[in-house]
Amino acid sequence: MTKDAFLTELGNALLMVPESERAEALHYYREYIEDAVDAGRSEEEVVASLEAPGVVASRIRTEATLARAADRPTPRNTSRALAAVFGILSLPITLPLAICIIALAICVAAVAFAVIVAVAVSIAAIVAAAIVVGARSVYLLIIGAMTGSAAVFTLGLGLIGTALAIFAVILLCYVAVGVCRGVGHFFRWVGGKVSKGRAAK
Amino acid sequence: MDPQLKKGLLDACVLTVVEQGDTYGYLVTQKTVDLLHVSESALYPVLRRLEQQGCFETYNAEYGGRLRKYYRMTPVGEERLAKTREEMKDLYAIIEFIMKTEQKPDADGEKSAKELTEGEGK
Repeated sequence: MTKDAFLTELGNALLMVPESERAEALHYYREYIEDAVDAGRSEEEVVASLEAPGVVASRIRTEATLARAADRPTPRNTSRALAAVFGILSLPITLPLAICIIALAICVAAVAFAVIVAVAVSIAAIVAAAIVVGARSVYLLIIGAMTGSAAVFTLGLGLIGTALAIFAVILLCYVAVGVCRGVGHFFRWVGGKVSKGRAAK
Repeated sequence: MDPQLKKGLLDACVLTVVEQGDTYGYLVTQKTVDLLHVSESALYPVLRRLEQQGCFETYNAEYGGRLRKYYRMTPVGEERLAKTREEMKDLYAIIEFIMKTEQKPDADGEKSAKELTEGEGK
């Protein structure tokens, strides 16, 4: 890995750290690699002898949260520091878990979206059918190809279709709002579980 | 090595290096990594922590057309190192005890624990 690639990855891994700490760390490792190169080592070799950017970053993050907890030992800071330490230790468990929760959330959202689209398409079909039947009966009435009663019957069918469609649109609005709320509740429930889990740590 | 013990030793080694004269990150690392068997990237958090605790003051000096950060010992750092050295004296006695027992189990002509228990059994 080159110096620039290492520093870019380290910078990305430190986005959650306060800006001054992040700049300080990036400056240190840039200087370190340049000093090593000046001492006659190759850039690739120096970067290889450092730990991976993610590991370097987790060391810095742990140190930063521990320092903050030591400065102001409030329960919040201490629990944050502990969470940082446990967070690193439990990464092999929490990472797949987080992926599962995200995948589940995407599935729920996709199902909700599919239901709304399906109902909307059905209503569009009813409206289209009503318009076609209504328009046809009016047209036949005008050109006189149909007797009065038959025309009135098909016109009636068209009107019933239109009324059904309007009713269905209102119903769809209620269903869509309900589904959105349900999805919202689900996400809040998952969020609650996750933050409760963190608090327990 | 026990991580807690290693952390204390890392701090002490870095303080010792800076005490010998103003220095910079790469040099501190080169003087300590082989001794402590840590990665070259493990020293930054130590330097940063000691700096924030007031053990070092820092300044930038130009080197080869770029700025290099130098670390200089402060009275707080001196005090910390002196305290660590006092603690190390106790530790030294403990280490001596452990190493002596390991190398010479029957030193000073005393009976070993095994012989003593065998004697009781008879």
